[in-house]
Amino acid sequence: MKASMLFRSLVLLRRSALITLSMIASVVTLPVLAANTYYTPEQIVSEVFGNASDDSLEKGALWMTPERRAEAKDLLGDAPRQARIRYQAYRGNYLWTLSETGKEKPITFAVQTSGGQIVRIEVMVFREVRGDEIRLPQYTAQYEGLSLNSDGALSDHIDGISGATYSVRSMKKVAKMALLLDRWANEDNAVTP
Amino acid sequence: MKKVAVLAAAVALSNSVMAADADTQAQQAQIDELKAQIAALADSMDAQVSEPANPVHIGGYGEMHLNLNQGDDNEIDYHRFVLFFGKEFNDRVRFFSELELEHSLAGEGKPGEVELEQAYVEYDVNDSMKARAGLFLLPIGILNETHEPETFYGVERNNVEKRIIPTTWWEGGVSLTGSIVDGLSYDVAVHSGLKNDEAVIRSGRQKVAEATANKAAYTARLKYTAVPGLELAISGQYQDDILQGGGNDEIGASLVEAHAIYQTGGFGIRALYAQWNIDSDVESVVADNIGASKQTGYYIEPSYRISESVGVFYRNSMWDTTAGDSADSEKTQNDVGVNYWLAETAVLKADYFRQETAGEFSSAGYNLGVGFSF
Repeated sequence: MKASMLFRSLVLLRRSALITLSMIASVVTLPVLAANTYYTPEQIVSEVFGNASDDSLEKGALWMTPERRAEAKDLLGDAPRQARIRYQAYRGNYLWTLSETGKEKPITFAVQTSGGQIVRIEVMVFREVRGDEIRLPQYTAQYEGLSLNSDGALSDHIDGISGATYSVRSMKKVAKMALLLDRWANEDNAVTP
Repeated sequence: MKKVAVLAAAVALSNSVMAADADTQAQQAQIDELKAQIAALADSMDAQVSEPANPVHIGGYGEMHLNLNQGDDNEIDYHRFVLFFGKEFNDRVRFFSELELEHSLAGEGKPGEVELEQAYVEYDVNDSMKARAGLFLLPIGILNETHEPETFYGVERNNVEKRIIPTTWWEGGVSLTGSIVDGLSYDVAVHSGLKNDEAVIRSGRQKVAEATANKAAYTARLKYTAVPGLELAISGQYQDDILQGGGNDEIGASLVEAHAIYQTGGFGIRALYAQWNIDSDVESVVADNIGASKQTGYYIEPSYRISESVGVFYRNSMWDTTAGDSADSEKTQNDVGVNYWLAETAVLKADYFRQETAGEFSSAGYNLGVGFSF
């Protein structure tokens, strides 16, 4: 699939002066996707859940009922557009995969929550032109242990990037959304015997 | 007889139980089918939501200013109305553009201008490198690349970046942007150069409008963003001849700019320094602009974001566009003001400024502004 994608790009650029540059570049560098994928779904599951076998992982979905949509809008200003949010869970830890538009393109995040706190957040796919510093450990570490305040804010401030506020904003929004989902998932599981 | 009756009743009951079982089974099968249908419907809805569509992306910003100039006419001006258009052609190639209308009305005898400020094709060379060809903003200073109204304090853009850098500055050419290691990026560009025979840098920007391209210019920048909240950058530019070959001599010019931005919690600080060094031969070329061989400026701007909606700032600036001679032509300015964010990208601003030239009071006033971006 990668080879045919590369071929299609080359055909499109045939009449452009950039063809020379790209030929040199593809000889000298590894062929890569323009959207930078830092974690595949398989990689993030193995990072978060370690050696837990696939069978022991609970795979569930939260339905976005009208009440939940209203609660999300009220608390966070926005609600996910999906009908269901899928998750994987193991021993009280939930793994959410959420996308949020940065300035123009969606950024895909993975968030691990447990008991109303963020355990870990990672950038899985970054598609914007700038701002990918948010994936660096020094940026993501700021989210560890954060919870949601009663007014919908994160429990601590996050230092961002001055020239790429949209990326930072998306990450904060996703962190808050994951904490809200964590709350609902725990409610759901408390009810089910 | 009773036994038969009981047996018949038992058979009838078991028949109806079996029928009920069959009913339950049929109902269960229906429920299962409905569940599968709902799941399929939900999946198809979610697929539409999560796959990014590839439309033309439209954006923009605008700002209106009210300048209450003490001792001079007040002025209200829709300073800028800007539209961005961009589109991804495929995973690796995209274009981006910026069209601007300044001061509301453009044309003969009108105060404004319609300008093309960005228009380039960008190509992802690899994971960590992008190439641009076209008309683009030069990687110099703080405001040049990021100047939507809600991103800075003060109604007008600060005079140091405006007069010395000079922001907003775009040229036509090619550039490469990439990262050396995580959090350390570089930009290098070869592009059209300045042209002005009075060494007034701001007027030397040809704006890629049938620009004389005899002498190119080269810009490079290193930027460090590995620490959350911190940006450190240094840029340099060099060109052989700001007369574009039109004079007897070649007047070379080079710019060095360095800045630091730090934002943590509510506290923020910006500090910038810029200096032009122009060939000393320029002093024999210019008619009026004596001292233009050296042009410098700096500012420091601490700020505090009191809440999500309110922030305050103070700025101390100095600039001198004719620092090459002994005459004191230094301008200093103190600004203080407040930003009130109505939304993340909609802002009301107010500030007070006081300017001195060569140590003497030269102007003061209040400014009010409203700005947005989308």
